[in-house]
Amino acid sequence: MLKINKLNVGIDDKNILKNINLEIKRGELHVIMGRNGTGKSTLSNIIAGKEGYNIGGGEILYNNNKLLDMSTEDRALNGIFMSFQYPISIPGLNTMHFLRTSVNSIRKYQKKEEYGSGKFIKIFKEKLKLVGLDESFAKRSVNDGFSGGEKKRFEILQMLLIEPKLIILDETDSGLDIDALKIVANGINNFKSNDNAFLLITHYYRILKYLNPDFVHVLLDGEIVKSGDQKLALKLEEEGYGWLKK
Amino acid sequence: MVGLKNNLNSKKELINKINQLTFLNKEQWKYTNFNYLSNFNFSKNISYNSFSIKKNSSIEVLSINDLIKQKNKTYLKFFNKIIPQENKFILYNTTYFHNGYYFDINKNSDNAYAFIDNKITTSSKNDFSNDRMIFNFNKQSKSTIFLNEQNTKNIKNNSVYELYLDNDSIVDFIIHSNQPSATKILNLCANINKNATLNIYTINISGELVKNNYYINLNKKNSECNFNGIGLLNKKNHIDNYIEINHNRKNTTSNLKYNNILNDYSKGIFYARTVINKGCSQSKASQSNKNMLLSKHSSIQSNPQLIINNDDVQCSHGSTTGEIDSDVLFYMQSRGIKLEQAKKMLINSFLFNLINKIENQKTLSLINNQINLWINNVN
Repeated sequence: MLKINKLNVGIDDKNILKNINLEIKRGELHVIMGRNGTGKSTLSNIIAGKEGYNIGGGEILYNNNKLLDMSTEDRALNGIFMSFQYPISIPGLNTMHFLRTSVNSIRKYQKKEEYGSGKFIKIFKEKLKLVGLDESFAKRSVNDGFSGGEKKRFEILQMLLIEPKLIILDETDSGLDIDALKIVANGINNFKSNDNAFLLITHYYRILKYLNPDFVHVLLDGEIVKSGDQKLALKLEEEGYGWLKK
Repeated sequence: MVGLKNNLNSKKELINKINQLTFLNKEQWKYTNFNYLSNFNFSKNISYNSFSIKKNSSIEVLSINDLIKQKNKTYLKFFNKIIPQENKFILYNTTYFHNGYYFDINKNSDNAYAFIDNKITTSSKNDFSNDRMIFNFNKQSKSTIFLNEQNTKNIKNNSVYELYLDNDSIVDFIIHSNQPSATKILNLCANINKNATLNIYTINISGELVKNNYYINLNKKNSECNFNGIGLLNKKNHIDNYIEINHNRKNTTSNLKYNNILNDYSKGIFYARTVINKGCSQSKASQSNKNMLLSKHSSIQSNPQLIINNDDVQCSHGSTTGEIDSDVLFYMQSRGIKLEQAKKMLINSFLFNLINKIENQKTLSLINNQINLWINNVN
């Protein structure tokens, strides 16, 4: 589904990602761990299509198409979704209006039937329950006045409504209490299938207990220095990153 | 239209006063160049088409001209009482006004409504019309006044509106101005009495040169003004707003919000002056001015001033100016919303909180349609 080949990325004169190689297949859940400032969020942003980075070389293929040539919205329309580390507040923009515009834009592009108002409200309420948010969210502005945990659950709600194919979760578990963490993990597990794939960025092992990732990669100083399975994440949790020398 | 003693000076005195006043002697005038107006004529009795007024039975409408002819002091006790006299345009209007209506809103009326459609056109390019309205909101009345100004013609208008809110009255006063070729001066003054609330919604969509002066007086305990302003400017529009709110008693409240969106080569001015006078403890005042610049050639002069002459008050003020936040756009685009649509949704959301409290749904719908038309034309 996603293939990153020898990707180099920088901002201004600083190299952030160096020679990244990563392949994510359908049905897989990959995890990237690493210290602060090692380029994890840059990798997420590059896949989602944020501007402002210099591509120093390499390529990203998404379903064999050159991802770096696609606009941000085209990536979303073609099934890429990123759960933001810091979801953006938009005062005055009604949550329902935002969600329905987003979901129907994508459904229309994918030649699926767009949701009418009634049907969308029904589906919205169903998914809302799954992430433990109450119906008052329909009347609020996007992320405006939401707590940290509510923002993260709202990101997962969007994932469930949009039904993307490649999901990037950028520190979705950060700032969540234990109950919220379980809710978010359940949301991911319920949605995970052989038809989609996940890239999860995290600092902590605790969410991985619920998710059983297929691969764990360690990103240090812009490079993937080690890959393994869930045991690698457990070792990092216990021993930190000091034992990993480039 | 002069002659009523105690309310009006003689015409000669007024003209003398006009001649003594200069435009640029105060900060409220200095951001707009009025010199070119010296070529225009404020003194002719000109105007055509006038106003179309639709109202319900809770409002009585009378001609100010008739009241003056009848020397009707009951109604005219309000005439020219609260209007600042150092404003040259108001003096012009007092001296030469020719269109005038007095609106008497019945005591205890629950749902008074007036739709005032300003259809004024002037006979010559150089002549200003001077129209005047007085609104007397009697005790415990609840009303919505909608002043609609939609005109594509090259009009010149100098208007004065005087609002008197008696005890316990609640008023939604909505001004929708969409006159791309207009040169327009609006002077609105309001005296607000005990427990009365004035909600002003002013929506200025385009205008060649627009100068709005608002003077709000919170005169009695628990009087309140919620002022919500929207400016949508494009091309070479120039819209200059001066908003003065005077807290003259204890326990008075004012909330001022004004958001502008500026495109092309337009220029906006926001100058607000909220004064908490001595002895007005327990008063609350807030000012917020937010400006969105859609073009690097557009500009805004923002000056939110609070003058606090008393302890034991709650006050805040703030101003922000910037482009559309690229992080917000990225968030929306990452949800499959195309850039142009995302921008339009953001512009709408920038304005939403300013008009969403308008209770009259028909009015709200008309304003939303006009805002959306403007937004749809944004490049």
